[in-house]
Amino acid sequence: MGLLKALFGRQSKSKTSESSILSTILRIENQNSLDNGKTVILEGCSALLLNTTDHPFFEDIDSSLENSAKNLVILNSKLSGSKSEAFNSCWILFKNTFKDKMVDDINSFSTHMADLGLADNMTAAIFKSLIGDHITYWICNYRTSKFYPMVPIGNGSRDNDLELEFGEMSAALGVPTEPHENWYSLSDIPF
Amino acid sequence: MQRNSISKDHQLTIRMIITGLMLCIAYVALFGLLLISGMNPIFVFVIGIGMVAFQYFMSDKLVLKATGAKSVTKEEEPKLHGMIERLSQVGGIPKPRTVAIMDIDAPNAFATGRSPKHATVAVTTGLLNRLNDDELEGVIGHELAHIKNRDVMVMTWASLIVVVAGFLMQMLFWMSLFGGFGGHRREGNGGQAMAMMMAVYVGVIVIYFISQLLISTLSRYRELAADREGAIMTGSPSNLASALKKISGQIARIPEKDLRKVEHANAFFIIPALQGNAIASLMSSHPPTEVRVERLMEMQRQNWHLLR
Repeated sequence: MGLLKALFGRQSKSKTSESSILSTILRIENQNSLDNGKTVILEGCSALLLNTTDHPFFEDIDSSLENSAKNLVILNSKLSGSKSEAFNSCWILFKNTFKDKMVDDINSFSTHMADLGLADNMTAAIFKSLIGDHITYWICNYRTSKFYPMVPIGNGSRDNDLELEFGEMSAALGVPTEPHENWYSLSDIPF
Repeated sequence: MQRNSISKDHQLTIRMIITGLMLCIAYVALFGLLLISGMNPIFVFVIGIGMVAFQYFMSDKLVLKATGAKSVTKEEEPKLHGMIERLSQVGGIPKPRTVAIMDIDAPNAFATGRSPKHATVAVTTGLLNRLNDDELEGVIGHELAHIKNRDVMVMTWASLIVVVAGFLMQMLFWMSLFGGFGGHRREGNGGQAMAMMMAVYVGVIVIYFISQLLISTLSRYRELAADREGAIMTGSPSNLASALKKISGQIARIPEKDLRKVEHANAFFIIPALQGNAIASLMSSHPPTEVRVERLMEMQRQNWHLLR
């Protein structure tokens, strides 16, 4: 619900699709990647990326998160925040060993952000996974409600071959997947 | 036995048969239209068959000339020749008579020739430079599968209807310009004859476009069948999948920019596929690379090592 509400700033007619978009990422857990056959392990940390404005929420992120956590009684994840001055953006980190709860929390938090009038500020939700030796981030673009993989290999570079392979895997699992030309980078993921 | 059961894709075969049947209906419709219009269908089809037969028997020479591909000997390209020879043996077909290379940077390959004995396989230098040996083997396997499946013959003769309908379209167009469909020459029922010819003209145009659509569909199915057959020859579907990704330039399309730098450019708001793309994909002779890669990787997920 949070995702589409964040997108459109109002409740959508289709409640099933609202709640299911983010949770489709859970399908990659314990799957084998196609080419190298390595198992996908979804890690218990994720993030919500927002662009910052002069909204009071961004003045003191820590206290804002504390207040949000109090308001959201169903929030099970441990929250923390950090700003990225270079991109005028803000990372809100979610930590939870129960990944389904973590996804629920991102959804709830997104709804909360939309209620605060920050729907347009939300850029993406990012999930971390380990596929063999490769750290792979799964980025859900809030503008399109679609995922894509990002495999950083240092110095701002990415392993595009692996990204294509993992992208095919996620698409085959029914995860809504962005077309390749929209697989934009995120250079300062803090987890 | 197991090899046979794996190598068959019954769904694809059924689709090809249905497409073939629909083409047969289009042939009958065109034949009927010719009869209605008073033209001699045998005469028109003989002209069409002549044109297609020329194309069929000369296909290898015409394509080599058009693409500028140069035949290379075993001494000049031992690796390429060796690969083709080995895969031909696995596929149970004679080694193609001509192996050629086109000095073009774009990565591509083709197979042509009216039969396995008269076949030609050509690759571009761009393909040789970009692909590793496994990927090149995947592409060669695909091209040899086209030869094995006699796709040049199937597609050339299937396109006879398009050639005939195209010829008729042009003929009727010029007739309408200069002869007014002959209506002025017919006293009494000239208007009726003209209306009849107009109806035939429209019918021919419709058959032309439907046939074009059916042939494109058949071509896409033949491509998928060649992917499958080629993968069986090499025993590794992922080789061709990897090559297709490189050839199609998917990797080149992945942007390097940060998501936040493009967010405000509304780059993502074109969510539904454009209508034009849908039409283009219907008329395309090849299936989308994504579909081909997906099918190959699905094959890879099965126990394809058994085919090695």
